[in-house]
Amino acid sequence: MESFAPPLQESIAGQRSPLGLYAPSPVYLTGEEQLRITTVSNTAGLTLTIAGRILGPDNRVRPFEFPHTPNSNRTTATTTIALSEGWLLGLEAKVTSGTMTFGAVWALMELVRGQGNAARVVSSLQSDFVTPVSPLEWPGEAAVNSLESDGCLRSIVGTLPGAGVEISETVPTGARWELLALHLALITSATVANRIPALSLDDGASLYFASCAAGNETASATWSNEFGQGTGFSFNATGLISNAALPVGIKLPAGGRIRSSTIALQAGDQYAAPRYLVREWFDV
Amino acid sequence: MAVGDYVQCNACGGTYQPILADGSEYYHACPSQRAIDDGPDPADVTGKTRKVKLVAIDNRRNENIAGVDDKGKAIIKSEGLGVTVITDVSKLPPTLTTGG
Repeated sequence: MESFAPPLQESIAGQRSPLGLYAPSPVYLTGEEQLRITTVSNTAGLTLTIAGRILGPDNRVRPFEFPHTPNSNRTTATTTIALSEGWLLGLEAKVTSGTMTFGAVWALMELVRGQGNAARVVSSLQSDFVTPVSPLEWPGEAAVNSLESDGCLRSIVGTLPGAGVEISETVPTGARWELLALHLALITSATVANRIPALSLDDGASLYFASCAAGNETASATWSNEFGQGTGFSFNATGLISNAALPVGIKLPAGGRIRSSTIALQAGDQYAAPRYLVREWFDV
Repeated sequence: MAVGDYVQCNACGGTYQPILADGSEYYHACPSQRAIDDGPDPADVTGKTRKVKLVAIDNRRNENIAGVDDKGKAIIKSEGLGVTVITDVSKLPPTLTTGG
């Protein structure tokens, strides 16, 4: 003889369910949980404001709000606040002061129990990149980790090296880069030689890609070496321009380097400060 | 440091802005070697070419973050020989400001 469980009855918002539970939210706070926000950022001078509402056991809605300042060096910054007992109705975090571009701040909201290093995560509520106009919201869309999205588009002017020194740029700790394009000017000295600049990508030690200028760069001139995704190889000895390709979509880990390596570089040759465009994500 | 300030690395001689124009921080790391003149190239009878010797750059600076201390302050990987703040921006090489 078959037996059937009684059909589940749907609770109606604002009314008690068949089990006597009033459930305006999937999260009930006992008063021992805390809200922890963790951010990673590459931009100074930003402040986030986190706001939310709790429906208390006395049926009163209690709004709360607190500020949070991200670090600008891609290390994590956390702020934790105690939450009162009741139903967590909603949370929102957005950038409320400072100037930034999309992808410059990633935030994670969690419920934790305990203090400091002893805190234990009860629930990861939401994570995503945050801007002044696109807040991190709970309840909301699916969580986004810090290596997703289009990334933070950054135009960087690197180090002007000394004479006779190659350029060397390093992916910062906590970052992951995709190199989109790089402009590298070489001012050659009067010493006669055929220089051939190459651009190499490595993980900090082992080289995994190199691309070089498509011709000889002669003395007493300023040569523009352009490296870019989707660029073909070309060389214009009159216009002093060399174009060379970069692999599409190649990623560099933290500590990885973008370096020049120049055949026949002379002691008096001078590279300009490299200018490059990268997409950046946070590898945390 | 503020946006627009320049410093020069005392190990490699590189010049850079610790805070870029968009407000993001820039972390310098020295290259490993430099080319120095090693006299005329004896193989060149015209005397127009020079020999070059690559020498290692000692006490290299690496400003990338190795970790944070007890107070949450970032610790850089290597101080090297430190940096010199460039107070007179008129002395900046034109290749830095124009891109060459």
